[in-house]
Parts: sequence; structure tokens; C-alpha cells
Amino acid sequence: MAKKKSSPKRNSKLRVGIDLGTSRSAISASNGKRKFVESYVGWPKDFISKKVLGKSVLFGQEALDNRLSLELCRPLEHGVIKEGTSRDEEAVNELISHLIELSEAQEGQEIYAVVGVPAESLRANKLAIKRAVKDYVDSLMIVSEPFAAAYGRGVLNNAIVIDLGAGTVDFCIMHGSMPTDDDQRTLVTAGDYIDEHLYAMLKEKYPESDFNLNMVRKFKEEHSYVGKAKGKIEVGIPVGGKVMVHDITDEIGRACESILPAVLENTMELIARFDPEYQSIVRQNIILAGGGSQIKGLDKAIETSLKEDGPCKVSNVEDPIFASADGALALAKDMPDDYWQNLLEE
Amino acid sequence: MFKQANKQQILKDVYEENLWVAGKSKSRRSVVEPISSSGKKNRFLPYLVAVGVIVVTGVVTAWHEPVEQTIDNKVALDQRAGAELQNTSMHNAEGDGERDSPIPAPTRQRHGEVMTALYKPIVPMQATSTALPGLFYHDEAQADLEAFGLDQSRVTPENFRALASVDMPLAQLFGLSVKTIVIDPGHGGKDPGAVGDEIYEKDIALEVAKRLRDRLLEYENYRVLMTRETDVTMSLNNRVNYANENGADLFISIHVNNFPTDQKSFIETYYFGPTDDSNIAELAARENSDSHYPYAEFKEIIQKIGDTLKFQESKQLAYAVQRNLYQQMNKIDKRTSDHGIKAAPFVVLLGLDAPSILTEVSCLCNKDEEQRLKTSAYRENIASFLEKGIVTYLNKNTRVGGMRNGEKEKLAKAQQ
Repeated sequence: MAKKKSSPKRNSKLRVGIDLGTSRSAISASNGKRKFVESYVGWPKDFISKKVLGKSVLFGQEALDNRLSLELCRPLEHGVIKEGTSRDEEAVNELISHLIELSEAQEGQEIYAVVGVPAESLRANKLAIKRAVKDYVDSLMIVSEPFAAAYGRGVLNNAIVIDLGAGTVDFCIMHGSMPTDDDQRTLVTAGDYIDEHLYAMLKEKYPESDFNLNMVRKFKEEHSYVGKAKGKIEVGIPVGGKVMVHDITDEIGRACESILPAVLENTMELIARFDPEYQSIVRQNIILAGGGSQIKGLDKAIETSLKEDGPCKVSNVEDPIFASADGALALAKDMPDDYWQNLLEE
Repeated sequence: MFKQANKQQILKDVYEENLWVAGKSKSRRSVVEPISSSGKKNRFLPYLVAVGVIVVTGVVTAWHEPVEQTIDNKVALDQRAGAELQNTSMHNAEGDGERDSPIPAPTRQRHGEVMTALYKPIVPMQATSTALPGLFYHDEAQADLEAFGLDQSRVTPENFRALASVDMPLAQLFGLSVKTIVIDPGHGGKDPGAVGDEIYEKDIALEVAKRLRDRLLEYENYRVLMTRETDVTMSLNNRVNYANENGADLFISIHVNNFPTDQKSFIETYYFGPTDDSNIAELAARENSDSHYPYAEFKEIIQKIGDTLKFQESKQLAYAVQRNLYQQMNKIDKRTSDHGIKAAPFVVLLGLDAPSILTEVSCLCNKDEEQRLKTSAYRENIASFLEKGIVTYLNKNTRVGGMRNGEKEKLAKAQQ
């Protein structure tokens, strides 16, 4: 576990950018470390589990792999701390502590962090994140995830960034200054929505088959597409204890496409917010970030739909998992020291 | 609108925003400095909410404004949430044993809060001495609490949690889907509805409805029915019965306005609910004129008013349809007015089990609009705007979204 900050006077500083995601969380640090972890936290159910696992808390894939022995928690929902038990807050604390630990901060280093949150997060959500992070960092700033992705890519003007995450799809228009609330949108029909939609369709099609949401999520991550399928998508799912081949081609396509109309609608609305003279430029500068940008054919699908109103170019960020964390790190690095000093956590 | 990107200014803005979040600054950049000089943002300025008078008894005064006030509502929610956090911390520090309890609004599901901002305009609120310090609730929320059998005389953590869940669209909460959509072209046969220069409301409504049906049928997921497909007289309760018997999941009644005293073209959308507005009551009386419901049946039906799901979903459907209609029609004629969504006691909405709206898609009192309405192309436009609104609602609030077949083909072509 990362050590909580202690001594008030320290010299060297580590700047980090954190993308706290519903499905995955990533950290990029000024010492060059870049790590991500699935946003799962698990505690052994009893002393036997603890002895077998040899750890008091597990994270990410390791937690998922051992979920039967764990009290498993996915503490973020729609990109913010899930409402409810103190266990969720504890899990977020553990997750942040783990991320900071992954950044390999040196003993005594001051940590200045920029954390990305969904675009339309309310101040209350930001404060909740702040409370969870403040024990592990010395100074903290919170920014919207798509804005962080845009900043990291140096796209500060005449562009729209769409960050497709598990919990939210976040939109942000860049017009040469920091985006305001009105420049940003958040939809909750995102990756998790696709999973649930796909799960429901597969349950209807294969009522006898034995699968869970986690398996469905994996099917999606491996095979997601919109438009025309490249071939049949077949997966192995147990039926009565025996694994059988299931054709899920149409279901995957339909589930992935289910988020498209809302994405298109919001993109068009945001384009319309620009001055008409610049709309054609903006249409050439639509950037997809986040795990959802890896859905095959999504960029082309958006491009095709928007082309009806004129030429359009949609591109994907190179590294969707780290785009927001890298952008947050870029902000952390560029931010003057006196700004950080004024935001020191007490 | 456009400036050269100024990195230093952006960094300063990020810093100032975070000062505000941390409670170290009272003003927020995005509120005090609108970025646009194009006027789009400035239309919100007159509505800036006067919020912030928070006294020990927990009384807040806010301003009731229309739906477009989303930003201001959100600011108000933010400010209120911040105050609630502080109040809650104080409350906990006084010894209720809970560490930094996540009870009030700050921990309400974010989506719920956004929905609240969108669909529940802030109204003057009250807090009693029995309420948790810093907890405030909407008048409408009281009705929600009652509908869920909760004690509405006292705002308890349990009530508040329940309320937070009510804010989420119930259709989404329960994973409901829409399979059957019934479109109701208003009037027909002996009843022409509004009469213009050689055109009748009944004909426009029928043609728009047919075009809308054809457009919705292009989606894979829906069974689309019409209460009438020809120029026939049909009573309101027959329309209602038809929709209920066919298991309507959604009901859209299409009408055209005509207020001879008002030359402006305006559009408005109604969902069922009581009204104090005499003009709306007059319109409802006109539209209800051929209802054949006996009193007892009417009384029984009126019990359904408390149906939270229907009410909530109808309101959201009305919002999506009205918003799309207005946005698109305003592009065609800038003089088109947005009369928004309204609750009104239309019989055709009352008797239905499904979420239902009555939309006045146009207005015969405006001569230019009347000429446009005579063209089939314009009727097609209206159908497409309605389609967009309905699909927006379906994609945002239910489990069944989807794309039109044509769009699928386009995608397929693009992939080849």
C-alpha cells in the first residue's frame, strides 16, 4: 500500500496524471511509469482465503481471477464513487493507494496529481474523489477526462473529443480555452450499457447457456464492432456443464450499435454549437478516446453518419487506455508551482 | 467565438476551477465568464439562479425556470451539494457516529442529479426542523416519496436514498423496453380539428403520422400501429382502447395548433397531469370534447394519475420530442416559438397505460407555416423531427435503442 503523506518539507516532486475509470484506472507519472489496473478491489472473505491468497487486498485482474475467494468491489459507477456503503469509499482509497504505489514514488517525494473525472461531474462528485485521493497526494487538481485527453494530444482548438468509457461517454468541445460545463456532455449509455444490453440479448437467445456479465464483457472487449461483421463471431459458453459454440455475431453488433444514435446526436449538437464558419473545421477534428474507441468500425460509423452534412474526419487516440492519464500528466507538468502550492492538501 | 489557444490561460482556468471546487474561491470561472460572444450562451444569463441563502434552519430559495435552464440548475445543485457536504460534516462532527456519512445529495447518483436538473426545475424548497441539516427536497419529490409509500413529512436518510433512486428514469431502473408504439393522428372524419386556409388539422396529423410510422418501421425493434389510417371519425376512448388492447408501450398523439389571436408559429408538447393554466384547460376541453367516458369510468381512470412510471416517462418523452421538434423547426423558421412541455389533462393521455404525449407539431395561425404545411416535404420533415425525438428518448431511457435499416446499410457499405 502507498504510504500516506507525512513530512511537510520535501524537495523532489512527482507529478502524476490519474484516470479513475469505472472499468480501468490508469496512472502516468513524471518518472516515466505508466500503469493501469482494472478497477476492482477484493478483500479475502475469511482467514482461509487470506492464507491461500497471501494478501489482505487484491486489485484488478488478480482480484477478478480470485473473485470466488474475495469480497469483490467495483467502487466506481458512471465514473464517480458509487453511492452507498463505506466499503465503496474504502475500495476507492485502496485503488488510489495502489495506483500511487504503481507509480513508484520515491520515499519523501511530494506528489502533485491531476485526476480525470467524467465531463459533467458535479462539484459534490469531485469533492468525493478529492476526499478519497487527498491522503495520498500533496496537491490535487480535478479535470474532465475528455479535456485531459485533448490537452495531452495538444488539441486545444476547433475539435471535439469523445471519451468512450465503461460508465460514461464524455464529450468535450475545444475552442481555445478551458471548456465550461456547457461545452461538455456526459451520457451514461456507455460500455457497461453495451454489456448489459448484450447480456440481455444473449440470455434471450440462449436461455439454457450458462454465462455471466463478466464473460459477456470479455466477449465484447474481444469482438466488439459496428457496421458489417468481418466474419462469424463464435464463443464457447457452457451449457449444462459442457462448453458449446455460440454464434453471437448479430448480438455483439446490435449491442455496440445501441450507443451510436445518442453519440451521433450529441456530436451533431455540439458541432452545431460552433460558429457556422468553423463547423467544417470541427467536423474534420473529431477524436475518439477511451476503451470504447477500440470498437471496430466505430470511427467509420460516426464518420459515415456525419458525412451526410459535409466532409468529416474521425480519428482514434493512439493509446486509448492511457490517453486521459497522459493528458492529466501533461497538465500536471505544465501547471506552475505556485498554483500547486495554493492547492496543497491540509 | 474562437480564440487562439492560450495554454497559460487554460492552466489558470483549470487552477481557478479547482480553487472553487476546493472551496477556496467563491466564484467560478465558467459562471462568471461566458465563453461565447455569439449569443448562444447569453440566453441563459437572465436566468442565473439566485441561490445561496442558507441559514441554520436550512432554508434555501431558488428560482423556478424552464427546462432550458439546465446549466443554471446544475450550478445551483453544485452550490447546494457543496453546502450539504459542509452541513453533513458538521452534523457528523456533532456526534451521530457516522464517519463522513454519504447520505445526502452529494452521493446521489450523478445521473439522477442531472436528470433532476433537466426534468425537475428547482422550485422554492423548505426544510422543517425535523429535517437533516442541509437537506432540501423538491415539492415534486414529495409526491415521489408518497408514491413509494414513504413518510414524506420527514426527510430521512432512507427517504432521501429512495428519492435518489426515483430520480433515475424508472424504465431504465427496471430495464424496461419498448416494443409497440401507437401513433394517434388527432381528429378525423367529421371532426376536422383546426381549420386553416384549405387545410385541416386532421389531414396534416394523418399524413405526418403515416410518415412517422414508416420511419419508425425502419428500425428493427418496434411494432408501430396507428389508431386511424384513413379519414374516419374516431372517439377519444376508442383511441385509448385501441392502444391499450394492442399493448402500447408508447403513445404519441399528433395535433396541430390554431390560436387565431396569435400569429406566431409555436410548438408545444403535453403529457398528462393537472394544470392551473386556463389556456391549457381550454385547449384540453376542446381536445376532450368527444370523450364518451362515463363519470365512474373517468374516476377510475383518474386513479392512474399516481402512476409514477407513466408520469415520469411521459414527461421525458415529451421533453425529448419537444426539444428535437423545436430545434429543427427553428432552423427552418427562426420565428418559431418554443412553448415547451406542459402537463395537461387530455383524456387521450389519461386513459392510457403507457407513457403518452400529445404533441402540437405546428400552428395553422401562421400564414407562412400554413403554406409550408401544404407541402408533403414539410410534413416529411415534421415526421423526421418527431422520429428523432422519440428515438432520442428510447435510446436514453430504455433498453431498446437501435439504428434504422438504412443507416445499417450505409454502415455496411462504409465497411466494404
